[in-house]
Amino acid sequence: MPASASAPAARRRHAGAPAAGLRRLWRDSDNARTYLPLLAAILALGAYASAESELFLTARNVQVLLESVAVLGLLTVGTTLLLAAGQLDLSIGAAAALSAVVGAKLISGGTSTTVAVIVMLALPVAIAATVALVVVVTRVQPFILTLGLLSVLQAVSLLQTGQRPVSVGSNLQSLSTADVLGVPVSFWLFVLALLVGGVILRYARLGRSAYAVGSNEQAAFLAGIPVGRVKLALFALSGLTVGAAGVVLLSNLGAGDASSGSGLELQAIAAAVIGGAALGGGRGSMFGSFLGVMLLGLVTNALTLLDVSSFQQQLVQGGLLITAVLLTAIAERLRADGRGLRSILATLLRRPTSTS
Amino acid sequence: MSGPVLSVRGIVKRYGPVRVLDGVGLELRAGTIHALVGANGAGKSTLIKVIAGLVPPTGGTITLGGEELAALTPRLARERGVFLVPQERHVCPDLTVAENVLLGRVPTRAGLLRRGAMLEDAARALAQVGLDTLDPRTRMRGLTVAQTQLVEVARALSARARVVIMDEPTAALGPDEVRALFEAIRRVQQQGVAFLYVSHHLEEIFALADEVTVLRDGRHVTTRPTRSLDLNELITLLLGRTLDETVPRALPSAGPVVLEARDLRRGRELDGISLDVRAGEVLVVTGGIGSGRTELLRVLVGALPLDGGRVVRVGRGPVRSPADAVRRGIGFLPEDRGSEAILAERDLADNVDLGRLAASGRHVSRPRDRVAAAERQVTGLGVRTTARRQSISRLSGGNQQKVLLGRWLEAGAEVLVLEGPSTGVDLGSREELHRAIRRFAADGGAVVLATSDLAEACQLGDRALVMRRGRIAAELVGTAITEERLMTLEQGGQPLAEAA
Repeated sequence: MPASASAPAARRRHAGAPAAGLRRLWRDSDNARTYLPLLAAILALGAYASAESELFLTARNVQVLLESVAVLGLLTVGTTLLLAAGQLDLSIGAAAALSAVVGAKLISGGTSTTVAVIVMLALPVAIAATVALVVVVTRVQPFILTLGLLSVLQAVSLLQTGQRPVSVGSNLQSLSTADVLGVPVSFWLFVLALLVGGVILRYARLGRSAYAVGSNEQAAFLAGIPVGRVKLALFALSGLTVGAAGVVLLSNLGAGDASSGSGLELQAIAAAVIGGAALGGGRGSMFGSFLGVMLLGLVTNALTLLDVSSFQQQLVQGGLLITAVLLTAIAERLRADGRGLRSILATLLRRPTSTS
Repeated sequence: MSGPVLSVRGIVKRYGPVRVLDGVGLELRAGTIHALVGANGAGKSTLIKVIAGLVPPTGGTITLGGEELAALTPRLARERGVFLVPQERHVCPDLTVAENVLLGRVPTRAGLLRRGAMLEDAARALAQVGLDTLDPRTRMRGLTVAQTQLVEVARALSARARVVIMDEPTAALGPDEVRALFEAIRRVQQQGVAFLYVSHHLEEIFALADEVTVLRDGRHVTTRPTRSLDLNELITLLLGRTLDETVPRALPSAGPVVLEARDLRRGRELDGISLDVRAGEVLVVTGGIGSGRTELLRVLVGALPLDGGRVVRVGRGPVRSPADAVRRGIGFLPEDRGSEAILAERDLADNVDLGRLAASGRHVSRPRDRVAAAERQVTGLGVRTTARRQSISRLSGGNQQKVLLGRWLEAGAEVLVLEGPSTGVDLGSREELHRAIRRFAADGGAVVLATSDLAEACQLGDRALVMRRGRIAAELVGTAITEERLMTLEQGGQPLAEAA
């Protein structure tokens, strides 16, 4: 391939011109286009927060930050796997809460912590696998199906607990309080999920098949990909991350709270999409999702330190998501048309260009 | 008879440097059926789109009811009574028959629907096409293709159509339905409506049309009364030559049978088809729209379920799903690359890797190997790219097709099933693809290739099967494969006796 033959030469040519090298990276790498703006946003926000508040860059605050993103992070790993194949599960927040509630009931009822944790992991896997089976067999839209399931699971949790959370005392507390190398155990759990998910998407047949199914399901089917089995495996894996999120939720709160998962599914989708995934499928990566989670976590953390109200924080989070998808869409158009930004804006504003 | 209701003169349509229509003219007279025929790419579809106002011509005039019109829009064409019944059905399946007949023209008073008047109007139009037994309050969804088609004709009639254009109306119909359609057309014809009838099935034209216009390579060849023609003469006019062009070719090497199909049955698309494919040969499958050609290919790769019969990859086992096919060394390239083959979001490497993903039993796929595989195929097949990890969507049709062929070469496929491999491919790439296909066969691979491009069938085929109405109508071998014979056989005729 001629391009690869000239690659070393190209590298040499660009050695003295980092700007040109960056431009080339920007043009040729989808990942660079996703990661670089995110990294820049994270650094800028971090710099601003540490300038405005001396509390920001303290060991304690960093620990708080890492602890706070673990649940969202775990759910985002599962969502990224699903989105790669164009699938979606809106019930993950409610399922995580249900897992926490069931675990709390078991532990407070005298079941050993080990058995409880196994049940907490297995229950969401079973729920997600059932969703996958229904999706594969009946071809209903996962969106509608899991939207319904979201309500059902929430109701089941509430029926289990009544209005009051079920306390588990100090059981499982070590997950959120203990740390390894100064990092909370729950965050290590997120990192582990990221690594496993990253290996699946990058190296495993399952992950590569997921991208194919998400990109063009008919093409994947005709190329011999077992589409149904791929979906089943991805939903089950996502269920496992939901179970882990449920365990972390329970350990963070010290109690099973039926409402503790609400809204997490939308945040997980937001984090994955900010990180480069698309609802249409075929895109996304674990590193991108990691950056998406960190950016959302950082916004909450920094704005809280700066005494910004939680209402305004929501405003910022929504704005971030909208900005991310707009930037992605504009970059796509730019690349697809090979046209300049001005001409794109002209099209968007429905005005004729004067360039012709 | 009276003067023409519609006449087009000197129509030219250019796309860039390509002239799709080059000075075409025809006249339609009230109460007549005028057939429009031509081989693939002759410009039939473009011409009817110009007449229906869907495509603006580059030059020429359209005269409608004595008035010369410079620019025709779909709306203007309809207002002047020109209606197109396209090949695909254009109806709203969840609305009732009456609402579909009067689509966009439902009778209202003060903005409110006059239901009684609507049902009456619709029933009148339905009776004109012989659908008097159909309740106009039925939902469209439950109707057969044939009924749906007649509803579209009724829609044209209720809007006072003077010209109805029908594009391949019999493609999805069974013999009885074709008869019913012809009856309806004749009935409407007697009311003074002019038909422009486009079809690949030449025998239909002899059964139905008063006049026939032949197009070839975007040019008007002739317009003649159908009575003055016979099938062989019409085919000669279509192809533009009378002599068989025989291309010398080595006889197919008699390799072992690698793929066998027995008594394949599926609805009325496949009516008991058996065939063997041998290593080292290119087996071409031709046949018009509705012949079962498309379905046969999909059944061979397990992508469509069978009512009866079986497909076996000899020595490897049965083929019941695409996953079976791929595991047993069969690779399939569909004609509609965009919606059935390409992973638009992924780069070249992932598009090549897709075949190997299902074909190999391995669970690991390293990025380095993916890139190396893509580079092998890009070099081997001469794909012209600009960037190493280029997105496939930005390649030309020809280069996309080479990448997709590379997908199966890289997967180690031993049987290739190709559907219209050079559709939407430029001439240079077409040659390169043909060479790659021949090379694959020469190396001991087996190829099944379906195409509506008869020139391609002749260039590539060691053996040709001609399909007609779900059956194999004939088999030709080696130099006996000529465009004339293929077309004659597709039409159900007997080929001219061979000169000794």
